[in-house]
Amino acid sequence: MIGLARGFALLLATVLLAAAALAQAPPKVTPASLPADWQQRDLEGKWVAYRAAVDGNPKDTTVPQAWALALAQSRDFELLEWIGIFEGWRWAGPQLVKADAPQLLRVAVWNVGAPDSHNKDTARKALLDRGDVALGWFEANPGAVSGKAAPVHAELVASGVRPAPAGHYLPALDAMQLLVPWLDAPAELTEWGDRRKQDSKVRYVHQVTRALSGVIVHGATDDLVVTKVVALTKHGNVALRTTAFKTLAALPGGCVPVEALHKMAMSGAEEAEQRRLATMALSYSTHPRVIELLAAIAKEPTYPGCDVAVDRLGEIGDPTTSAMLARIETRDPERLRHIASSISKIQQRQRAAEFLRPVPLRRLLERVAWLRVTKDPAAAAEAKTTEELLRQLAPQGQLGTVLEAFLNLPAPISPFRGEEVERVEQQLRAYANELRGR
Amino acid sequence: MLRLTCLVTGSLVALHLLCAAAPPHGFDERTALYMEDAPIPRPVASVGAKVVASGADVHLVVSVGALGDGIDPLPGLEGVSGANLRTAEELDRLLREQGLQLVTRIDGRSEPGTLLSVQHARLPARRLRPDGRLDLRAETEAVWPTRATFATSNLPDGESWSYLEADSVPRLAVHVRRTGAFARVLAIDSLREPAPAVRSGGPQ
Repeated sequence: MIGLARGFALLLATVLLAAAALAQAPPKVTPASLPADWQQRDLEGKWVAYRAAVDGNPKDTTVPQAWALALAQSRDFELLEWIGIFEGWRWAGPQLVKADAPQLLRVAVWNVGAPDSHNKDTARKALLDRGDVALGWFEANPGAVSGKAAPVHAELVASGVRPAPAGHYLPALDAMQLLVPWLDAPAELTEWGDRRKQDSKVRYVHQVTRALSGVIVHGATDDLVVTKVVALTKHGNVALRTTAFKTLAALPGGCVPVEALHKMAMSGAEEAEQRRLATMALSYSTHPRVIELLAAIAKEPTYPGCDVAVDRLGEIGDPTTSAMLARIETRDPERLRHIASSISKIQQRQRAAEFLRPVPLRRLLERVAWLRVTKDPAAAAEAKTTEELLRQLAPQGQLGTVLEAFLNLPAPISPFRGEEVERVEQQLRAYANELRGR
Repeated sequence: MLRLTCLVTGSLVALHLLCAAAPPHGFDERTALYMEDAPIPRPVASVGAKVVASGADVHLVVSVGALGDGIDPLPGLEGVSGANLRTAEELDRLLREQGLQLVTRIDGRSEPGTLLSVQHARLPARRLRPDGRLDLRAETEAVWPTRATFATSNLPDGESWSYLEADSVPRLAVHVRRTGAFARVLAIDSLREPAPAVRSGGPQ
């Protein structure tokens, strides 16, 4: 009887689990309905309609995919291309692949430098999947071989695949042409409003914010581009200014312009919110100075970016930062709570041995290396503190294994410039080898 | 509404049946961070694996989530440590396309697991307001799937490997050893996507 009851219970469980699974699976995304005036719109007008649909439905997670499906159905490949260029491969790319659209290869190449690994990997896969035509396309577009696409091209060549005619595919995109003219925005920009077609003599706000998104997807790390983005942080249009700060914060950490942002964060001539945003963007630099610069801002409650600095130090600081935060004196309960939260975050990260992961570990080692290269008197003490922390987190010979794995990783874009790039990297490796006991 | 209530209640009862009989000893739980498949990998998801008993059967319950201590956010000022929006987006896509499943390899066969539950929530985020103000403690406007939990069928005696597959590619492996009524989670491993091969003539 007990066996029967158990059998029934198991059967019931199985049936209910199957029902639960069906209940949990959300429905597949279906193509969006394009606006009734779709055919009356030019490409710019279609872009605005697409963005209005996405921005107007922030709670609906399916809108971008539903639009990509609809645009593939209506063969709006030019608009899909823009989405792939300015917002990334994620939804537009698979539709270009499915249709074997003429824009496919150049959008894939544009995305192989994206900071989002998902976009980057799937774009790379699209190129490798059609290696023969991709190689043929690179031969027809030799300018596209250098830079971020070089590793994919090298992979194609090394595979021994024979180049095939690629006349169906459009020529390579030029980042300078696609981004730079739009980043040089005039002071007067126009809102699109309810028009359907653009006036070619007018520059619209969304054209500049769109170009800023393209900077992130392209992984454009050229100092010229970064300088133009910095200039846009002072533009009169609020949306443009904030998007420019957002762009700077999303750049690879080695490309974030420390000097310019620190100057803005400290300048009494800037508006308070600009200074907070500058502090935030500054905090995404991987330059070792950033911790000190943020610490100075965090200590001073009259700085507008003070709360931002406290917040970010909890995410990027180390136990030394934690000790500094603990020394801040204040009677403001909100500030006390915020500081305690950041200290707690650092302690949590320490307990989880987060400092042994590649990104925080590089930050620690690079700081010691940079202090040594610049002959900073604090270098020896910093080296000792760092060693103590790492040995505490990885005792009994584990540190050697961690560091060996770390040294085999590719170096990210350096936050240093000129000769310092090589000198700091050499010093970092020397210090890591010291810690390994070699 | 009644149907939904029944289904939710049903799944809770089923979970209870799976978990209630777990003896106080011999069953194990382990957590890990899922590492992104990138040259410099970052933790982008949290993983939980535990073995539970249901009568004489032993099941492995695996969950993968976009929230948890140690998770790196998306690059950029909107992301907050402990939450990864891209993981939530991927969970959403995979669940919609039924592209996420747990399978257990037993004697050369693949035994499919069952989706037990999906948790939804807004993710913590920083937000730039239309007036240009930066809000340090905001949330995403959309509600995203933040954790999906699966269970295997009855695990065999000895060692078994269960894989969480995304788009039919194994991305997570959970290694369990069962000895009668006792079972241990030995390891949770993030798996790299197989390197794409160079092909001719488009996808095969």
